[in-house]
Amino acid sequence: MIAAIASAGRRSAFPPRRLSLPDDILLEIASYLSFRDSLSISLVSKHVHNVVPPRITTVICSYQEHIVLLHAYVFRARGGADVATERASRLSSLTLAESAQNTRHPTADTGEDLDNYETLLTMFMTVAYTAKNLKYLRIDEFHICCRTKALDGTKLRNLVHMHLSDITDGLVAGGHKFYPPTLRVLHLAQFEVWELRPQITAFALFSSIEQQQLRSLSTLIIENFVPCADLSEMSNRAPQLATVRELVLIKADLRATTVLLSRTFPNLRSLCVVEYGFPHAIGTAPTPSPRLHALTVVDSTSDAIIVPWTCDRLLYICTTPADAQALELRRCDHSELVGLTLRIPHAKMRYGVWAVVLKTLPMISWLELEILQKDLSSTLEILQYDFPDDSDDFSYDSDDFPYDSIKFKRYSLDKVKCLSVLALRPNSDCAGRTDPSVIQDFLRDAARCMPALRYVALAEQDEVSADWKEDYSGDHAPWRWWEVRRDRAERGRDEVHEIPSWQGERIRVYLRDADAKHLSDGRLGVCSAPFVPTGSAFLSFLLSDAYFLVGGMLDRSSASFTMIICFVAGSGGIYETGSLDVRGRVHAEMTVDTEQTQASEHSYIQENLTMQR
Amino acid sequence: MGDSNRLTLVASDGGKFVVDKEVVQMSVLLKNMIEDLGETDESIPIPNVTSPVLTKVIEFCENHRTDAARTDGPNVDGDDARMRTAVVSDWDRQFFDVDQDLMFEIIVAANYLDIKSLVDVGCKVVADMIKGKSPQEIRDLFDIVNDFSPEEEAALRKENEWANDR
Repeated sequence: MIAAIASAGRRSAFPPRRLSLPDDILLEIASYLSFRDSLSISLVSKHVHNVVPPRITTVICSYQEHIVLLHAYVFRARGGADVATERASRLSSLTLAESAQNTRHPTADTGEDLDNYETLLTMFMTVAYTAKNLKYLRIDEFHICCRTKALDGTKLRNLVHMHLSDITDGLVAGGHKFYPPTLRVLHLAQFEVWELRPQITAFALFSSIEQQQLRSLSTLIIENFVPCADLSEMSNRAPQLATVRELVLIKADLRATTVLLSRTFPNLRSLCVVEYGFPHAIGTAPTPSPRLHALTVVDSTSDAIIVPWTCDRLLYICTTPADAQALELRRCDHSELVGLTLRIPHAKMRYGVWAVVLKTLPMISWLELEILQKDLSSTLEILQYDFPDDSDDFSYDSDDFPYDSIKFKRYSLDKVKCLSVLALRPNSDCAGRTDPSVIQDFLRDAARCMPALRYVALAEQDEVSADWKEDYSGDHAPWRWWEVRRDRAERGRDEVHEIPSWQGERIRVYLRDADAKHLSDGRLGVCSAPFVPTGSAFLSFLLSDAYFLVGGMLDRSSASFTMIICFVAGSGGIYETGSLDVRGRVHAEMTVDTEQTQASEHSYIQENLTMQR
Repeated sequence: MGDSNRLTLVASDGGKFVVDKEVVQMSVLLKNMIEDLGETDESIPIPNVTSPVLTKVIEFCENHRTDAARTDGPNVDGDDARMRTAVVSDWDRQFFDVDQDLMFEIIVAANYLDIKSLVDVGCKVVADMIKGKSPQEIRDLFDIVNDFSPEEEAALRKENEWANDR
């Protein structure tokens, strides 16, 4: 019987000849290859070509000839309409680069008349309209489309992300549907100011988008925009884009429009300001202060100052060492700021990072350092140097520090619960990776100097980019995570254990999504009563199909153990014992006798979770 | 009655391997068979998989047995993409440092036994061997005969290569 079952396996396993692998294996191998490599392998033999034909999904038209070739690839395919439809349906990303307007390919000759760019534009758009799975479309030199109305957004039925550069006022004139209704991300860039072209004001643009009623639009990115011509008029009738949750302003001078911005984007959750900021004269701040979850500031000019939003999280990027002297983190109303990501050239700028963070942002609960120019080993040693000693106060002289002379006690770092450091990989003479003893020393000292510290994440890789679009969380860097397990009975006997990186990254997701309320003491395993750490087989587990952390407090006087089960991932928050989280993510709370068996507790928890789900 | 936590696999050439059930269950095919059969002392034949190949497959499963908890863990969005972009570990790369015939036989056996992690790693290793090579270099590497005429190859090249020309 067993022999019969075994031989009935759904896959054959004949000893293969070289690369005569099953077709599904060949397809799997091809899925790991770039287009260039998949083209190479498809040309090795007819059989391989039939199994893994090159599949063009992303096209960047940089020359005029590319447009002709793209059009021919789709509409003049051997095999007729079916092949054309199949090829078009595979296209997911199309870009018409600026150079395609007037640059001939140095060698390709298509035999076509390329002088009429408007004809080429029509050919390009015909392909885009046929590509029913097209998700991303970028058109540079869009002023030509503005003039000719070559783009009809209603024909792009599944487009998610549209990027239009060099737009002109034809875009806001009305009467033409440039945007597809499915759009989620809209990126609009004007000519650089020095080109002295007529400029569209930001609020004229917002008004035109409002008229198009883009119900799915969640992210708006605008580049090179100027303030309103007539602020008083705009104050009377501010457009409203209620679906937009993320706004990115690149070199966009929105002088004195803060109030209007908060009216135009009433549900804004994330704001990113690149190479500019809000000038000193921001006018009357909105009351009450509008709330943002995350603010990103990139290379803001030195005269740019505070964004009058309350923020939970700040990502501050400065790319040159010169900027470090002006490292000024008070870019927002930071009274409730709990998370800080610093992407900086090196940790030891003119002043210690700790000093700047603690002086300006004392509420920080989680801190991410992303170092652009130094290796991890040097970074850890510098940070370690800045840790306060056991005996001395941690102090800076006012001559060296731009603020008042500051002194803080040994435990001034007492709010930091999670510390994450990303830096460069050491060069080859250090075996390409940081010495484990350096890491262990750092972890030991970090645990000693930061009494609330629960988690540490470290990563090193060959390059750290300053690009604001880069996010190094999750699998975007080779993270290693450690958990600090405190021995409350005897200080100094804390243990640091490595935990799986996927588990640590879930902690990061939670922290990034949390606000001050959720991170206050007692809600992330920092309990006033002795805390039994997660990781104990008796007291905690991670369920296989939901994201929970279990922890609890042991009350020795009543010999009871209060167990808290917390939803960790997604937008939920860890909750307070006995109360329900406002976002409805809390699932169970119970008190159990410490004498209960492990089996009955697990059963009790499962029942509760089943009931609550 | 033998040890209920272990069972015997029999390779196509008669070689016998006694392994932990936990290890064997990395194979979806064998896991389903064990569930269907219940408790049994019978050996399980693995047709078409020779002893040297089965030895390597078991070595991989032994080494990755603790990964099972991870694959059973909560599935997060992007896990598949994570696997796709993940770098092949040093151990896995060393594991596949064998002659090409054996390497392909391991992949085929893993595909037959439905051991996804081994198929994934094997495909990544082969993909890494292909990266950056011309069609002729790939033919030379894997001893493949080119059955395209020069005209056919040039036409296919022209039809597709522009998309990579930026």
